[in-house]
Amino acid sequence: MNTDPFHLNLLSEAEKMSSSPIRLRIMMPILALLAVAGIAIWWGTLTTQLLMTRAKCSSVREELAAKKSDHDAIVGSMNLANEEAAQLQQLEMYRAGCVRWGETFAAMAESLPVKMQLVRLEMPEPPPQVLHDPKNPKKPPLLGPTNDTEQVSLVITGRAARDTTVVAFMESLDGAAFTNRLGRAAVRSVQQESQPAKRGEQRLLAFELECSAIGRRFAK
Amino acid sequence: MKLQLTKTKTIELSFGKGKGGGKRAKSADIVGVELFSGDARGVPAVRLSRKKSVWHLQAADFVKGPPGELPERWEDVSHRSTWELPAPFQAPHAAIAANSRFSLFSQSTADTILQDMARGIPAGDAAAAADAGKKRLSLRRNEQAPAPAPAEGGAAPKSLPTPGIPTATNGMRFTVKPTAEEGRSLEAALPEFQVLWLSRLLPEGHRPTTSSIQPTEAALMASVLAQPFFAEVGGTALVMFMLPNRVIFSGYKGGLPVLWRHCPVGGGHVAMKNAVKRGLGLDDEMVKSVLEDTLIDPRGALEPFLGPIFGELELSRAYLTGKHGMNIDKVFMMGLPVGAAHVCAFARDSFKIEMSQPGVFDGLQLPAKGEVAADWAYLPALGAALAASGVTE
Repeated sequence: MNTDPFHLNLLSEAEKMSSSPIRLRIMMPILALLAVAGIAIWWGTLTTQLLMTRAKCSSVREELAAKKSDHDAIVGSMNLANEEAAQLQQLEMYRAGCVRWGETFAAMAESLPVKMQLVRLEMPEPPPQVLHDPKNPKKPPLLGPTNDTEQVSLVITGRAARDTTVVAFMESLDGAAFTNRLGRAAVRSVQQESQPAKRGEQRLLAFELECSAIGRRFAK
Repeated sequence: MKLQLTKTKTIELSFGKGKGGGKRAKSADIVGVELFSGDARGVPAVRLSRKKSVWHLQAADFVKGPPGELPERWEDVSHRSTWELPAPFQAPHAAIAANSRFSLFSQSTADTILQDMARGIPAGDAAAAADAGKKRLSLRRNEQAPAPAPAEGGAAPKSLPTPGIPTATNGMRFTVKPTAEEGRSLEAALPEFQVLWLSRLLPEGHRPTTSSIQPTEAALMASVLAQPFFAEVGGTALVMFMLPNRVIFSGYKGGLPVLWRHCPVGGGHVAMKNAVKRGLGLDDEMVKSVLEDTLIDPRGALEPFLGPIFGELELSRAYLTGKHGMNIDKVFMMGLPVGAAHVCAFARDSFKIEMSQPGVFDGLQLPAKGEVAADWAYLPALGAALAASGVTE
């Protein structure tokens, strides 16, 4: 049913009013004001929070600055303690690496042939350890060994009447008394002395033996 | 909504598509009232709602009228008087059918309409002191009411107003709608100050608010729209409105208005009762019982009164047949409270015209609870609500 041709309405569109109790022309400004107020409150809350955070941040900074000297002192002490502990550990390593030669030399004295004289017992200096870091030369050198083990050898210099005596001595070094103490001995040099010490005495053989010894272990 | 991007480019935005193809949904709940009808029982009011293309009559009653009378001069415009309808009539929208001695409703040619617009409202009736009235109505600056026309006539408008758009001219507010007859339009008008006063009668924010203001005659013309007979005859009919003090012939063609003619002779049903009263020598109560009862034939008293009216009815029928090729086999009568059977019998016997009068609420789904008295006094209110049912929300 098309009612429009019969509707001769004298009321213009601008004069029509809404029956809804919510009037947009009133509610819109109110809502706009509420929105602005809400945004202002939100902005104010944010600003307050920012100011409070800044104040807290500055107070924490001041507190940190006040504690920095104490903190540095503590850190220094801790570093020093760590350094000392590391040094002690290195020293402990050196202590563990100490080789005791007393029993070896006592057994050697027992097994020494009659007509033989030991002139010198020498342990050659091992090659120096690289304690500086090659990549960072300015870094302080390490206190302890860089390797866990260090090869040790014993050079025995002496005089004997005959070469058989030297051989006998070398065989005695392979005996049970030197197990786990000395390795196989090798002759470095043997030569006759140029003249006897006294007239009528037999010319002696000067010999030099080298034998490997048990290595130094720097483990704890 | 049209947005002009450049001088040549315009885009049209459409929000929501209902059955109206972009138009907003039609109001489905509306109350119609006829103001200042002079009925002692109060203001006739009906509330209609539409559910699934069926009109439901929610309530019909005579309610207490608005405070004061319809102002007839700018000076009489009261302070913003408000009117509140009873709870059963608090629909979202209200359609007001107003009775005013200044109202204008006719089927006219363009020249006649322009002449009416140029004439405007007489200066003596409107009074020049419009400022006080405007203040009382709290008119905004952009809502300035035009000054009333001077006594010798106002400025003549050059063209008809756009159909359906109210136009204020020379103190009167006009609106026009084309009819099915080419070159003729329906024109309706009320004084500007009366429209402004009526538009503010129902306050904003309370149910209902005014969606439509029509002269009572315009509402009457639309009162047939819900009648089953109107649909049965395909919207092509001749209806005789038998009103208290006048008779109007209304023609419809294919659902469009084509004729609106006041009967120049005779009076309404009040005059008819007086004729019977005089002719049979009865008092008021007896006249009513005689007209309601078919035992006594009042034809002798009715014939002198109805004869000229039916002569005019014949003229209207001949006009519709000759001019528009309408085949009117049956004429419908509306508005006669008593004596319809005698009138229809008179039409059939004396003029060979088939005539019937339907009920005022025929075609409406009546409320389940409570009885509604079918009174022809509701007809203008019903027509106002039906006509304005297309008002967009």
